[in-house]
Amino acid sequence: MEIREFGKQIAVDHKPESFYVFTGTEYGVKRRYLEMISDIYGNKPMECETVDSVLSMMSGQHIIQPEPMLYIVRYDDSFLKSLTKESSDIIKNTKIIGTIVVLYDADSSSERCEKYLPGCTVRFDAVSKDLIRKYLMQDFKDMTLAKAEIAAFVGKDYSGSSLASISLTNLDSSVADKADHDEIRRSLSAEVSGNITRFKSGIAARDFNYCTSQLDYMDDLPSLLYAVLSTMLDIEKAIELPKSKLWCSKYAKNWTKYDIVMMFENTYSALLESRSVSGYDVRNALVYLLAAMRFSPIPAVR
Amino acid sequence: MFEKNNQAIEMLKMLSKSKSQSIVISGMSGSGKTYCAKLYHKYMKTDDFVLVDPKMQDIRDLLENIQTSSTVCIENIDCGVQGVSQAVLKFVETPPTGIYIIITCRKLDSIPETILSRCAKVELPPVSQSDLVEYTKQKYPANYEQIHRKQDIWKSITNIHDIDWLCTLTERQLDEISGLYQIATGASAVSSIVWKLQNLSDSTKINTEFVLKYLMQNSKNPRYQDIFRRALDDMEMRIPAHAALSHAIMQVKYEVRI
Repeated sequence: MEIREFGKQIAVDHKPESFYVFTGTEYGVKRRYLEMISDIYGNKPMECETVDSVLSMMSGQHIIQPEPMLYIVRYDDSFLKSLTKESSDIIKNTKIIGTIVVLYDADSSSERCEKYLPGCTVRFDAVSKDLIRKYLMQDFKDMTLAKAEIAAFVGKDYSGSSLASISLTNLDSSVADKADHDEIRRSLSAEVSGNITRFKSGIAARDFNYCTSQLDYMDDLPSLLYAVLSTMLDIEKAIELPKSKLWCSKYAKNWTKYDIVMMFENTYSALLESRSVSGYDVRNALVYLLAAMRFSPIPAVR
Repeated sequence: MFEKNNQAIEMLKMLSKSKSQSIVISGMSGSGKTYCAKLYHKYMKTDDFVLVDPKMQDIRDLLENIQTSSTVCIENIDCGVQGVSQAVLKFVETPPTGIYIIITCRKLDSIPETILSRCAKVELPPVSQSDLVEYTKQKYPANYEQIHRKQDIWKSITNIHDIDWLCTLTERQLDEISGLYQIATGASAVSSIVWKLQNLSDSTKINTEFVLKYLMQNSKNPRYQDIFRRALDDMEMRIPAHAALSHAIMQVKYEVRI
């Protein structure tokens, strides 16, 4: 399915279909559309392990009709491997209450999905700078065209551009209009790739793949433990003060207070262990913490 | 110097007579460890007294540039990163002539056995209440009554650093300190609570270690006392103060079971 057609279904008609597969590496835009679909249903999305588990839920008998909602399944390789004409027919014939979105990023997943689920697969690759600029103007209050242009140029993708936008928040609009844009772009480019702000944004969005991919770009892995702690404090504040305009306010709906506390506890425990155990593998610990983040409620990681 | 430390001072005099080159002095914060190290420099009549933080680069610089006839004091080695102890071990195993090394720490068991076995050990007892009263009366006679009257604050004091800091505060600021428990158990966002616990209304910074001691001493709830005690222990394990305090407040607010 063309992204424009999909965008119209969601942003204009507010009528999502019952099943989508999102492929491609534009994590920021995928996240954006997931939020929009979730807003259409007016409730929190449910994270599920497999497509099979959601379809089983749908095909069972219900005493009380479930509310329509968004079901998110991330990187279900078994579904991809078992995708055939027959299995795609089962999906088409199942009465799905709400919308199921299955997420992948590899190119191979796009081909297979487009073959067996044509019309359901939306590819998010290299969104154009024009589209990024348009999204930024919609998503960030007080965003001017000049700042959106700079952010769209600096960020390699929508996520990077969002981060650049945060960096530009305090830049006076008149300065953004007149200043040497190349100079601003150069200094922001140095900031945007592999930095803590980007990582914190990934944590707030509960984007496991994004965060783990950033680990290879970070020089100071122990500092990421502190980044997780401070992100949890920021999200908790955003929930307590819903009218405040914090950098993470738009991600607050991804988190329950229980999950915030568990993520904080798990990370603090890892920090304590890193101080008392010589040769402590911080990278390994971070991967465990990020993996636990995919679940709600977040389990204790010891 | 505190009365109970006389025994430690006698021991240092004995060690100076035998020209002991490596000494570990242990004791709580504010118990007089650095003071004793300086005393040893005086007894050994060295030219220089060098105070070193337990950081790898500082230790390396020291090993390369140390002059003869120096007393070197590596402060609170248990607050340093792992690896510092290994760097110090080399120094302690073969100390150059004319160099005397004093290592201070809060707990003896935090120092590797390989270092302890090569050093003489001097332990300083905790500072007693009478020592604190005596110290305050002598150094801050005008402030003694004001602070001693506030029992919630006085019972939280465990060392002379607390007294040195508290005696810089006004009556109004001390009244704010007395409100810390209410703030800690409030319903605001954790980060907001932590900020208020670390800053008075006029932006004067509050020492986090003192805040935790105050909260621990003034909590009637045994679970809260445990939480704040653990936060203090965590700080001794080199967890930054802000992180330890945030963790404690998170546990208090959300009733997290330890």
